[in-house]
Amino acid sequence: MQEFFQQLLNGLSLGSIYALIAVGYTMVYGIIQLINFAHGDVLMVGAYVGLGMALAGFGLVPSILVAMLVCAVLGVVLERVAYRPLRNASRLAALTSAIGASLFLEYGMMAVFSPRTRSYPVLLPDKIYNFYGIRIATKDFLILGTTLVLVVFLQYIVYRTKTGKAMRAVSFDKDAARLMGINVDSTIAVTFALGSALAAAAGVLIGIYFNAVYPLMGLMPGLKAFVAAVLGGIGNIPGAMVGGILLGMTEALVSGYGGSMFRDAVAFAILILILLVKPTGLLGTRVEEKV
Amino acid sequence: MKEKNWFQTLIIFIVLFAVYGVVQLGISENLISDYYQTNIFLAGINIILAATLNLINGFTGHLSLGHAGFMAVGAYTSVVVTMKLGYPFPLAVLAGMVFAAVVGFIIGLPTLRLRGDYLAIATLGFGEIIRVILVNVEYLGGATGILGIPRLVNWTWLFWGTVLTLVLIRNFVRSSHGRACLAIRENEIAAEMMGVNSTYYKVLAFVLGAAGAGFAGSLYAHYFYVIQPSKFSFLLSFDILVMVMVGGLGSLTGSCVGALLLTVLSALLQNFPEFRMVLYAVMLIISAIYRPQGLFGDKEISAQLLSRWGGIFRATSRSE
Amino acid sequence: MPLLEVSKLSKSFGGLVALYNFNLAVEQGELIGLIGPNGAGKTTVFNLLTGLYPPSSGKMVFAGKDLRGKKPHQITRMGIARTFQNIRLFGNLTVLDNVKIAYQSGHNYGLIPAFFRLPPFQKKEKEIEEASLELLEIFRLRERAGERAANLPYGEQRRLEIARALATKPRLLLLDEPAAGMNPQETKELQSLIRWIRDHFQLTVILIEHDMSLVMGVCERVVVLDYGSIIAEGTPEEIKEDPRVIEAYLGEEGVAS
Repeated sequence: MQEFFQQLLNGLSLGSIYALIAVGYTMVYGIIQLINFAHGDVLMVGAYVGLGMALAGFGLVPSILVAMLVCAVLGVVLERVAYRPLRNASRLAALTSAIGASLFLEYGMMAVFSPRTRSYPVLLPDKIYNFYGIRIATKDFLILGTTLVLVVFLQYIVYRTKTGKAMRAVSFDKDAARLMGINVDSTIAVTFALGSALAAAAGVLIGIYFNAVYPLMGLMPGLKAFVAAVLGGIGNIPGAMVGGILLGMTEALVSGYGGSMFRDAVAFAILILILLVKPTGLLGTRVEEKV
Repeated sequence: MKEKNWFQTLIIFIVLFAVYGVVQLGISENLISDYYQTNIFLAGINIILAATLNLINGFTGHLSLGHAGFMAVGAYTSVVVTMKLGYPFPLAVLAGMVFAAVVGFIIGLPTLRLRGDYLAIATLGFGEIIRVILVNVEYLGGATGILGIPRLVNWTWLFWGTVLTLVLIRNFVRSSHGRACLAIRENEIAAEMMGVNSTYYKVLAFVLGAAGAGFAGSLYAHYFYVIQPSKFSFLLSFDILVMVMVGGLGSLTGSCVGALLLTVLSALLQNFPEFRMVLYAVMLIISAIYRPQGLFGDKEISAQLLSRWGGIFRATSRSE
Repeated sequence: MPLLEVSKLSKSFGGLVALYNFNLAVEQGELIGLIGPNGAGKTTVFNLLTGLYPPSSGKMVFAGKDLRGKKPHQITRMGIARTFQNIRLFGNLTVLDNVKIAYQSGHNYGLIPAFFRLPPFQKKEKEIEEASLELLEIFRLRERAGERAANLPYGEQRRLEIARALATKPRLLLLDEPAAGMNPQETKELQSLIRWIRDHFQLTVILIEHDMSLVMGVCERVVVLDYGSIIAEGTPEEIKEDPRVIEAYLGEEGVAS
């Protein structure tokens, strides 16, 4: 039983990271109906920037903030260069471009910094607290705390500010939003910036949690976060969080109970299952295409 | 009209036999070095991969990123059949194709039934899982893979296998079944409304494509002696995607040219793998933005197209 | 027994009621107009009948068979065809292929004959091609057979959509604003065309249209929708005089002034 709760806690940490990434996926999908393949790679860039800051002697908080800032800019650039020209093109062309962007970041990074795996210097005391036999590391506090702060911040932006209102309007109906005087292009850019910033934070957290930073590190977390977004209902922000945490916990339980070889397979089994059983996701509502 | 078709077919056959004969002679007389032989074989396998992926991406309009995974399924299945079970090679090829098709069905049905755009993620994830499973299964050699596979594929197998694949895909595309796939690509709702069972055709194209990748995998395994999980990573899937995109979505001859072009490029750039991938990435973005139809669009290289390029306009004048 | 019987059909999207308690009985051979202001729920009726949306409640029976729960392609094969308000041709395919795709659903051959071009393939392909060309002939599109559908002028695209719908061999044809974007001359031609295909193919037709001259000129019965409900039903003459219809179209001020 103790083991069970331990795994659940591990899953909660992992799941919060997935949630942070999934939120970015879901926001972008909600607003332009495009799977942003490069999202996981933005995360990787964030991890590298954070690493650079940390190696330069900065503390944890400035490292995360600068990584978020850099990636927000990167997200806007990506949107401008690889996605915006294709907004009215076929879905297939847009997806292809997104894949190109993803490959570019991965192998560009590899060409510049080599494929070598790097690790973060010690940024916070590596202490383990013991609550009734359940071990909680400082890392876990860091992850849960950061996620909580960012999620509250995001909720504030989306539901309490004018920009957030514009984002919701654009994702609901682009043309109507434009007629209401909303600048659709800049709203989409802001969405990319926000999503990318969250991914960057997740990147730094992953770098610290697994103690490994390498050019392909964004691939699997990116794929899994997409599954989390679908699980929660694509386009739905609370759904992405719920989906992320559920996925993290399932994965931790599976690998904790001897199936570590299949931990990567869990996410895709869930994807297939959810598509078969409830394709709109847990919190998603049915969206019918207008004919 | 009929006679002209026969004439064309005859020419094509003569050209095919000439290419086959010349290369065969070169190989038997040791005029073609091992390096070139390797690349010629890779080119053939790439053509099969690109053409079968085009069936999914170009003709049906759904993005699959799992082609390397299906190729792996075909390769490992066929090797198990020949090496571990001791059955003849043709049976192994068949088994590889069937098993790849079955796996394709299991992945394709739930994802394609609903949202085609999830296929990209599902297939990418599937490809990686296949790799992870292969690394972990002792019976299949784990990360080192399987060594010492007998070379059962020769130029005859490869050449006519490639030609057969292309002919079958062409026949499929130019049949009522192929038209149904094209209709789905053009407008899925209208296709349904014209009586096309869109789920059936999307899954069919996907399963056929997977079987084709399985075919390529079994040829690959029985030529190169060795298969390893790392050979079938998602990078290979991306390579194939670039071939299809560069050649043109919906053009079989385009796929052939794309496959040849990329085979040459990878041979030239094999010492700069990162640079090669960055180049491919840029090619993908540029082709998506500026020329989503690829070099050839959905056109096929034909006598007519060539004569048009040659400045002879008699073929076009009637359409004015 | 009516060919199509719809009773108490309702559809809501989230909280929005698009169609409420819609009743309609259509006899074989009738030509019915479905009119109403924008957003009144006309296209929703078509989308429900053709299986694009599941209804929230109500019954739809076509030729004695329940339509609920059927996929669009199944409904097409049962004998209902439609055109779209925003043209949905297979733009990159040829005009001929557009019609062939619609025609082939009932005249198909297996995969093996397709792969190896066996006799069934040759025979059926010939049949499909001949029938499709014949249909194009009727719609004066035969010379265009080899062109990309997207390259046709607008009026011809509309005609091709109707030809394509007819290729599915329907008993009931649903036309969604076929005259949209046509000039008066084209609309007039369309009017006689609709009548002619109804008689020639022994069709039953339901027509959504904003062009009143077309509706009044061709329809024998008109149903008026407003805010998802039927507000009037009758012959064109009756509809023209109905105060509720005038109000729905012109608003209350329009009536008062």
